[in-house]
Amino acid sequence: MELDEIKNLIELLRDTDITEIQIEREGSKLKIKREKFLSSFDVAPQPGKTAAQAAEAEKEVAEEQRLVTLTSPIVGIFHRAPSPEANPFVEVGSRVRKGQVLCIVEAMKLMNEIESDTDGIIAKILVENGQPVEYGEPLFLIEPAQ
Amino acid sequence: MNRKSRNPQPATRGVAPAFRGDIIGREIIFLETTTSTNDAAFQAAGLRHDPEGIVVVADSQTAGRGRFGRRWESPPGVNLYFTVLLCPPLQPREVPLLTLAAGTAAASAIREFTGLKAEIKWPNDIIVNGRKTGGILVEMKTGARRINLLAAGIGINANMPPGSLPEHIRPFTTSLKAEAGRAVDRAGLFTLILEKLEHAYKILLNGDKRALINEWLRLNFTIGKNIQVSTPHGIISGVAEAINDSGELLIRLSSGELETVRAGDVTVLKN
Repeated sequence: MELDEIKNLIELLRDTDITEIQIEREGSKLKIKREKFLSSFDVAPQPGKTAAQAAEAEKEVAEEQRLVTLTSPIVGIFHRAPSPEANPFVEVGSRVRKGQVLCIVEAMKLMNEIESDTDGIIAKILVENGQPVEYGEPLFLIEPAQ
Repeated sequence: MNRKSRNPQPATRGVAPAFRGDIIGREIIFLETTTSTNDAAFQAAGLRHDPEGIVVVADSQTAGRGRFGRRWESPPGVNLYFTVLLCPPLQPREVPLLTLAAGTAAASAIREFTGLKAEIKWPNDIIVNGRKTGGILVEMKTGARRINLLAAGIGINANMPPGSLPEHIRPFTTSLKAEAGRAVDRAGLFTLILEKLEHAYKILLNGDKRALINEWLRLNFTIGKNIQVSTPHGIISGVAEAINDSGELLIRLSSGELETVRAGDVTVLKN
């Protein structure tokens, strides 16, 4: 499955109520899941919440949607550092430049250095060190520089 | 001094291969010394429109490395250290098979050239008589939207006296000369490895994964053995049962479950 297809799917799902979809085709499997709070339906004022809190939540959603997602180009193991003893390439809050290495995804001693495709700040690291990742799985959310 | 040349100079004459393939070795860059041939190859790639098939070979490396930056001993005048640059038009899930293909090319060339029974420990360590004689580190640089460039770095302990290795790796490491009892012609071995690499690469590009996997199985030193794999989440022990079409290792645990391993350090246990 091509990355463009996956991006199109994500775009399609954005304005729907669907929170999870799974597609299997020609031996490849794709699962897209999102946290429900990403949907704008959930940010309407609720009992027990003040208008100010709701506005804050809305702002968070807007911010979330402005973030750039960096995905894994291969199936493998996610490494946050160049070696087990070394410091991680980046932390949440790290300022990164386009082309900077953010992590390594390893499969069978193929060490794939994943570079940022934007200047910005690391907003979220979505995978824990040492975890397996799938092709196209989101790894980082990056807040792009203005 | 870091002399770089299209033609072998006195220091690199001993590692000048006779092979020039359609793809691999179209251009060969000779270096007297470098940090690591993978680094030098990525630098060379940055200056070229089409880096596919460029080979960088050095007589010595000052910072030769393996997985996770582990040091690869790289003294001058004795061993082989080289990198092949590839830009394979493959699906991302197929690319890791290249690392297995590189191992089979190196092991089968060593068998043919020296008569030693070189074997492969998953995924691609080169083993002779149970000890490591060669290592392969494939590095890929990508933005997430493209697979662009792979550097397949190969180091072979050809004529290094095992006594010159650091003490802590000496029990697990050897050289072809130590095992064969005679010196190995580096250029001749290099020629044969490149020839077999080109052959394996063409098979992969033609989509014949099965042929590559069968060749790996023919040469392997892992399947059927009791092994331990060190992973970021601890050690997995069991019997190496098979590899799948992606080259991942399937281990039968003592519980009877089959575990799929994508990455890790394998230790083959004595049965």
